[in-house]
Amino acid sequence: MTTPRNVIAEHRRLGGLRLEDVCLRYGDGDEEVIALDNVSLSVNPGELVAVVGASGSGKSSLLAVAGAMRRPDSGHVVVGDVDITTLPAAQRSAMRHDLIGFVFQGSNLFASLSALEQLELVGRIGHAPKAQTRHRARGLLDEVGLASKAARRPAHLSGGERQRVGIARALMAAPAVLLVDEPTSALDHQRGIDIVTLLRDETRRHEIATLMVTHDLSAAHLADRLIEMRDGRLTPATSATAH
Amino acid sequence: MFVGLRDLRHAWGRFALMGSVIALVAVLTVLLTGLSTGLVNSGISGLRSMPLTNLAFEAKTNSTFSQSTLDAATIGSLDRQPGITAEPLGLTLFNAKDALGNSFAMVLVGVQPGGFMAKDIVDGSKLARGSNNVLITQGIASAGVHVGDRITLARAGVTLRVVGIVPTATYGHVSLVYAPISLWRQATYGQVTGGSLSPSAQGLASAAAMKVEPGVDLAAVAKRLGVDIVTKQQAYAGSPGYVAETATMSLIIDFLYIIAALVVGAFFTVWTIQRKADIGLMKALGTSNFAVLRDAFGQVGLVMLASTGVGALVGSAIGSLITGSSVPFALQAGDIVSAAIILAIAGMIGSLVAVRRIATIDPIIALGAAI
Ligand SMILES: Nc1ncnc2c1ncn2[C@@H]1O[C@H](COP(=O)(O)OP(=O)(O)OP(=O)(O)O)[C@@H](O)[C@H]1O
Ligand SMILES: [Mg+2]
Repeated sequence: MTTPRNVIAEHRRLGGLRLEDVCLRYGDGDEEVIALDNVSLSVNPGELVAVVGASGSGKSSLLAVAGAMRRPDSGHVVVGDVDITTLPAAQRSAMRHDLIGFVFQGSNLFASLSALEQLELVGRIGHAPKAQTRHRARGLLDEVGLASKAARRPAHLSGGERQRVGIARALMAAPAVLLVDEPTSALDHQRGIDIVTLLRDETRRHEIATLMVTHDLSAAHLADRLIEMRDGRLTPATSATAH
Repeated sequence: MFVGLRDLRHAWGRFALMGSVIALVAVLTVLLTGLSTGLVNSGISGLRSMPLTNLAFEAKTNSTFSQSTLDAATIGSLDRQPGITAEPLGLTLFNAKDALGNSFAMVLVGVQPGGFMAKDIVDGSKLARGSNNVLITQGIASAGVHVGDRITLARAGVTLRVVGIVPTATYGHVSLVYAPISLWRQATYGQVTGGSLSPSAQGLASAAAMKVEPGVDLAAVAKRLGVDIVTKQQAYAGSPGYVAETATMSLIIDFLYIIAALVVGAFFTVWTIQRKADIGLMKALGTSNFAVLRDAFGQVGLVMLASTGVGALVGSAIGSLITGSSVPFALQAGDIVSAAIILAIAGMIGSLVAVRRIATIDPIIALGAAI
């Protein structure tokens, strides 16, 4: 039994993203690694929050928990107004479509699908009517400035264009939360700034709670809020990381 | 099948490669099926076309014509049983020479003129009692033997005169020649010197052709008269080489199905490993396990359907070229379709090995990190 979609639609905007005292451990005994150590975080609708941190500090783990890919060992994860902490696998899968948009590192598009089809696939997954799906997909491609390249496959798009397609795809199902993983890692400085600016604009326009993980400090500074992650703990950014 | 279909189009070369392997297996399967049916036909079509339900053989002769001899008294007793009609049936392999001196093999079948065996076999012509008239099959006729020709059986010192032609029928891959039972006895038991049949050979036959009404206790009859009674189908096994041939052919065909399953299984496993990132991404975007599996299986199903379809068509095209040649080959639409279906199912079964792999792919791989 999944939560009825109309219920999700009603509640999705209300809460943004909320993590309460989340702990995530890998392995056990001597091998145990605490990837997330009592993490509490709240991202409001329309807000772009950037998380920076050294390698191994737990950034991917944070996205995995917020994105319903990992169940935390304790604490709560609330997306929109749905507590996804203890949902079984099938429902977490449905939540990933209904409530969460992902923008992956290096865009992560399907090689065999055109830009338009990357977006249409999301409509298919959600069993949305075809005509409506296509209309929305074209609108979103237009929004990210790719209307003229809708028919191109990823191999014929630049890195920045691919990332734009990835952003448009993440917006397809009108998610409550956008989770963004290293969006600038494959781009030069200016393209990186452009992409994060686009993310910030879309976050505001669609009133989404956006959590972005990045190494790129200049990109991170475009965010509304900057948080640093260290050994699985969140702290407000220190001056060292802030500049 | 949104992604699966587009993958097919995008990576068509790889799928074409696997598809052509399956198509080749399908061609082989169809050809072997045709060959198998052809072999069966040429092994037993003569026996199958006979208007009898059962056969009685001499006891402990494995129900084979070449080993069995029944006397007139036994056949007569069989005929007198309620619900049973029995006639003498002779069946012997001969080397013959046609009018031009060419030799060929033939199975001389002796039937009782005017009996139930003769009626259906002679196809309008008549076999006069006691004459040296015979009927040849179209198979022999097409080799150049005509009505009015003489055929000599050198070993038996008997000359046969062709008076008619009947549809092709073979036994143990050798064409039949129908003769009155008395002529058959002369050829089989007569002296090479041309002398008359010894009194002990009078009334002998290889077996008894029987028409049996339902409900007759044949086991009791067989026990009482000291004969073996088998159904027509059971008698097929007595045809020379029949059991070994059919077993060999079905073994080869079964192996082809297994090969198809293994090929598809191996391909699909490798393909799944290659698609791992895409499958992880589909799951990260919220595709259910069921939908991912449906997508993957739809892909294999389409490839299997297309390639077995093409293979079956090519196979039947080659088959129709072979049909009518000296190779025993017979194809029926039903055989082709069932072979293609079994092949497609074998492929799907082979692809099942990848199910677990697909089901356990973790959507988290879409985040790049191997966490
Ligand atoms: N599957 C796992 N098993 C055991 N330990 C793991 C696993 N995945 C991650 N870890 C550990 O958890 C901690 C946090 O890892 P995580 O991948 O979240 O860091 P990260 O901040 O994303 O690093 P990077 O910037 O290099 O991607 C690290 O110490 C890592 O070694
Ligand atoms: Mg990481």
